[in-house]
Amino acid sequence: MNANTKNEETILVVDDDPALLELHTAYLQSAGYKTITAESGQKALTYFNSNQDTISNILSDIMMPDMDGYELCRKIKSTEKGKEIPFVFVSSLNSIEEQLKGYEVGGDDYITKPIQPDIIYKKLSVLVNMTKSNKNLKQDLQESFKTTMQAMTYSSDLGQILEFYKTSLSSPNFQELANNLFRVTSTYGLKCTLQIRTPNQIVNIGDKKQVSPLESNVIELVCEKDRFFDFGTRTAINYENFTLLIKNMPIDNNERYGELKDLLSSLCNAVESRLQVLLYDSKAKQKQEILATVQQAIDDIEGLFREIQGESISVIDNMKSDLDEALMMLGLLEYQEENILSIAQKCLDETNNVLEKGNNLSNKLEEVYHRLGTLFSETHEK
Amino acid sequence: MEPNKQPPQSLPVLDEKNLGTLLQALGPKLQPILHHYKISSANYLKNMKIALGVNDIDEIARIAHALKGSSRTLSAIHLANQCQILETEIQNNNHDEISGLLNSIDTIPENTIEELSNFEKSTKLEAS
Repeated sequence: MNANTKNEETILVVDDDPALLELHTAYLQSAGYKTITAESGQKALTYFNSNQDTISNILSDIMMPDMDGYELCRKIKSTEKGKEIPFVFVSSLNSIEEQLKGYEVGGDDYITKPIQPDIIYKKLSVLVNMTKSNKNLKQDLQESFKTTMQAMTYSSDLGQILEFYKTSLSSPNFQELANNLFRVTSTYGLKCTLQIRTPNQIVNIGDKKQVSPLESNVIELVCEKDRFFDFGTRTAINYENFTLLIKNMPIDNNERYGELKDLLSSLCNAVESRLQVLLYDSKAKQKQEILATVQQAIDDIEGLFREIQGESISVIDNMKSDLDEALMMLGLLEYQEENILSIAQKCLDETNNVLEKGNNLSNKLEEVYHRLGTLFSETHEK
Repeated sequence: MEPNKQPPQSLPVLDEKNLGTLLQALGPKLQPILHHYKISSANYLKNMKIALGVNDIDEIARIAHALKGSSRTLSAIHLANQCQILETEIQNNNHDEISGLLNSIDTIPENTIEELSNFEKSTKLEAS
């Protein structure tokens, strides 16, 4: 093998005749091509297998011992890279049959010996341009395909988010909300854990399994960091009421990583909105429960008071009746009876006053209840 | 050079016009190519004789084809034509002719080498 390095286009020249190998090489070098030479089909194939990316054209003799040019061409063209590299036969076998055979094994052109420099330059120039055009076309095609696939993927990703917005509206609790969220993240191929923080508790929900205490601790450590906090292949997305931990962000794929960040941002905004509603509903429910408890307590107090009031009146009435009977039995003087009755009446009036104050207490409790109700409804509206 | 080994007047050993074109295209680079050709043509002939010794007709045909190609490319037209005749006889299964043909082209490479050396001298390629 011999390499000459002066130009970008490298041509692998194969011929078992050293004089022709040198002649063809000299022609090509004169035209500014880089050349690699091989004295046999097998050597050419070995070189090709190790240096596919460096070869832009192959110029090969046909009749060679061990492996002829047809076999070399067939083997090279059977590779993915080989299909893109023009293969030119150089031979004094110039019959139609030979040329058809060359075509059948995948050859791109055929030059008949003796080679004329002008012909070889023109043919190679055409093939080099054709290869470049094919490469550009292929690149354009790949780029278009990639763009189309990205658009379709992104559109599908956005569709998932829209679906999440719809379903999250009806999520009645944290678990349902997390399940809906994980349905979307799993379509992105992401493994996640959701930590929801309320004033009273921290709820950890994993998409596949229970959340370990260590994972929970890690989330609590990073939840105060930036909105997107990357550590290793993990990314924590921090919001006021929750943190979404992604455990397999594609950090090696910048494009997909960026897309996912945008999508997750939209997704998490929806989660936060729904969480605020759920937390608000939860607080409202708690207030309703408190109010109901207070109302019950007031009702109980009022009932107890009415009971005490009734019993007190009954005690006084009994005392009055017993007093009348006693006075008749005692045979007291009129002024003495009036004196005793006056004391009893005074006691009765004072007792009524006390019971009347009890009525005021009941009114005050009722007022407390109404004021609590008003207070709760005001904070509820806020 | 013996008279019976001289090529016919109508068929020169070298195509000097074509050789001139090669010189024009390659300049001094032609000299090492001609040097390789002189060595390889002698080797081809030697190998053809070996193949004849073991009656390997396919190998004779392969070598004749190879020698024809390099000879024609490098303007050694007489040798190229003789190789062509040899190839044709083999294709036509006239194997009896092979030995005689080989004898007839035995000295042609010598003539060719000599003519090429003269060409090199006349064009001062040898000095370069």
